[in-house]
Amino acid sequence: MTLNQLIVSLCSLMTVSGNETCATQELQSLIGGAFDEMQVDALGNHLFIKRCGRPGAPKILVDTHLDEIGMMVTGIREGGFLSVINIGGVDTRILPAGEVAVYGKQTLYGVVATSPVHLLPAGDTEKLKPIGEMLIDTGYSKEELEELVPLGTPVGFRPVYTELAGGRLCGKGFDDKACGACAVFGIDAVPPRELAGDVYFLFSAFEETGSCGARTAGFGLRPDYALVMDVTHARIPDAEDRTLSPMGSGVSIAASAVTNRRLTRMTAELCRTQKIPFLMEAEPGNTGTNANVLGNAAEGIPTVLLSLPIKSMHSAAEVLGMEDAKALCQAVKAFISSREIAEVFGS
Amino acid sequence: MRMYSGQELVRELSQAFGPSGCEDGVRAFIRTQIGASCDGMTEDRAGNLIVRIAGRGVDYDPAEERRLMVSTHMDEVGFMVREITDEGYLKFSLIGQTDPRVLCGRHVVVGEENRTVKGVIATKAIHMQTAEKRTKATPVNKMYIDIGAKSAGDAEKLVQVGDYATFDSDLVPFGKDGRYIKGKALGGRLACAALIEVIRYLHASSCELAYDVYFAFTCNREIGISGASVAAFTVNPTLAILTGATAVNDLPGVSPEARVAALGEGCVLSLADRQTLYDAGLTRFAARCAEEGGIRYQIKQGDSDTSDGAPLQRSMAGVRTVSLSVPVRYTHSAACVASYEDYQALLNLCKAVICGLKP
Repeated sequence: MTLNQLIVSLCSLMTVSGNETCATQELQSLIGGAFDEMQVDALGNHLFIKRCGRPGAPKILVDTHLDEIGMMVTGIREGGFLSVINIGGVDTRILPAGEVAVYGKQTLYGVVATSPVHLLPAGDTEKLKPIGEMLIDTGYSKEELEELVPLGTPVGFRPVYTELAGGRLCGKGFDDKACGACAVFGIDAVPPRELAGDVYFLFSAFEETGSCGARTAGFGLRPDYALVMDVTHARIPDAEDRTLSPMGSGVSIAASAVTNRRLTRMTAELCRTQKIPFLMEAEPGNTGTNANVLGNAAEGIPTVLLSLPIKSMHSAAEVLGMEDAKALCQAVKAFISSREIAEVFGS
Repeated sequence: MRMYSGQELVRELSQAFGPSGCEDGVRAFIRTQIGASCDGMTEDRAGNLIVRIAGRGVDYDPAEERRLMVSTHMDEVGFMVREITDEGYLKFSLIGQTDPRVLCGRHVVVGEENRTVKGVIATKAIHMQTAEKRTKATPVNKMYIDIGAKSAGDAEKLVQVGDYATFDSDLVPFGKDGRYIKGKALGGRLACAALIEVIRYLHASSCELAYDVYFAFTCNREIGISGASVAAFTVNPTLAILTGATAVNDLPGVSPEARVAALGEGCVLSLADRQTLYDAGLTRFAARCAEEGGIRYQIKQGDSDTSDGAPLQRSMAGVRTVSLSVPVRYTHSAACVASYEDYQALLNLCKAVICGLKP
């Protein structure tokens, strides 16, 4: 399987926060083969372990989050429409006439309803309804839906992937399973005896609703040091912030108070010596990622944050650059093989 | 060229690339699908395709020159590239009255019918929007298409200013037993599919036709400068049947009068739209044909929307015109939704009215 195919396969899975275990079987078959062991904990964290074969070796945590933003069914309306609420920060501007999948007793296709402009009162044509007032058109009757779609059913964006020019990929769920795919590729590329320690790859739960999966998994695991990977905003023309990494510049390495300065410097040095493209990204405080909680988990875990720049985050049409994803794979490979880092941070 | 029918014909037409002014691909496809199943096929200089089925039977008198025009439009809403930015993004204008609220995040195809690239209408991530902006649709002049180009030079190898774009959207049957279909351009294109099937039927059957029937597949409906007026001038009809879509709002919480019409309730007969009062006698005749043929129909509520009714009715010395349409939800978006049964009702009612008309 190519990296592109693994990204599409993983990102297509429905993993709306709270439903992470729906993907357990597919994860096992898609990536289980790259690891010695898989464990699923009480919150839906999926832990994949690859051992180096040396007793007492350092415990290296590689974290990407499994969950994604989405919606949840809260009501069934006359005519075969569903009411929903958001789970995590869904971009409502992409919803009208958007396509969704309703993961009920069977997976139903749906379209987010919208009223024709010429039938709206003059002042309402530019207004966006709050998500709680939007409706999903399913093509079933109310009675059929009551049978097929229990309240609480997760709803996700319809997985549709398009390759754009310049090695760009467009689709849903890159946040953060694209990073997960890069982690698996990077880890799989290192033979066990070349690992600097035992690698614990955590596909963590509940990041989008407050990082509670990584918090508890970090506490339970007590790794010696950790690499967190998440998506970041790539530079776009209409962003006020011109310091965002342009897409195609490789891995973004965060400089932040919540991550470990020395580990960050060593990781950047590793990228420099191995000619892995990267840019430093200033995230002085809150990084909006699991790095926020892992640094302070248990007695504190030295953490470094690497990011994949994407556009239109939290939409059904996120865009990533394959050259950045490949750089991220190389960075993971270098990180888990680094004896220097293991020497400094291993217990 | 493969011949398509039923839902496959609808799919091919829905997915064809044909924004207003760039209907060539759609027209070429329709020509191949009709092939020899007609008594004449011409293109006028405005780009309309006109297909003739000759009158026949006891009520047909060639000396009377009675002509029935059956019209639909081939074009769809879309976009035109107006600028390639230094960073390689495409600024665009709308072709037709697309609702800016349905554009963010949509997949698009940019170019011309034989030279296209994929793109996406980009959105600024929710994290970067102010609370106020999150409640408002992004204006079109703030949107741009991302085709993956890294620079203006990159982009210029793939597209040029003046290129067209449409939604990139597949046809999806969904709902109970696949009773609904979702796709783009499900306005005129549903009617295009229906009229192709009607032409094939009339050509193969021996039903009597009191009129020479001229089917017009027209251009430029979505920009309001309708090719239908040119087609009507060319055909010079005695009577006209306008086919197409009616935008409906049959959602929970909307009053029955404000819904216009409803999916699954059959072919829509319009009494009026904002520019046209349709011919009452012909409309009553169409309703009677539906009742006698067991074809489901509904009368449109209110006079919302505009159509090609006005250019047809007001052409030459005036033409008695009737409107038959398919109710469609979320029109002019990438995800129009229609009922396949309503489409079949339009098809059957067109056949019944065309064959049933007497001098």
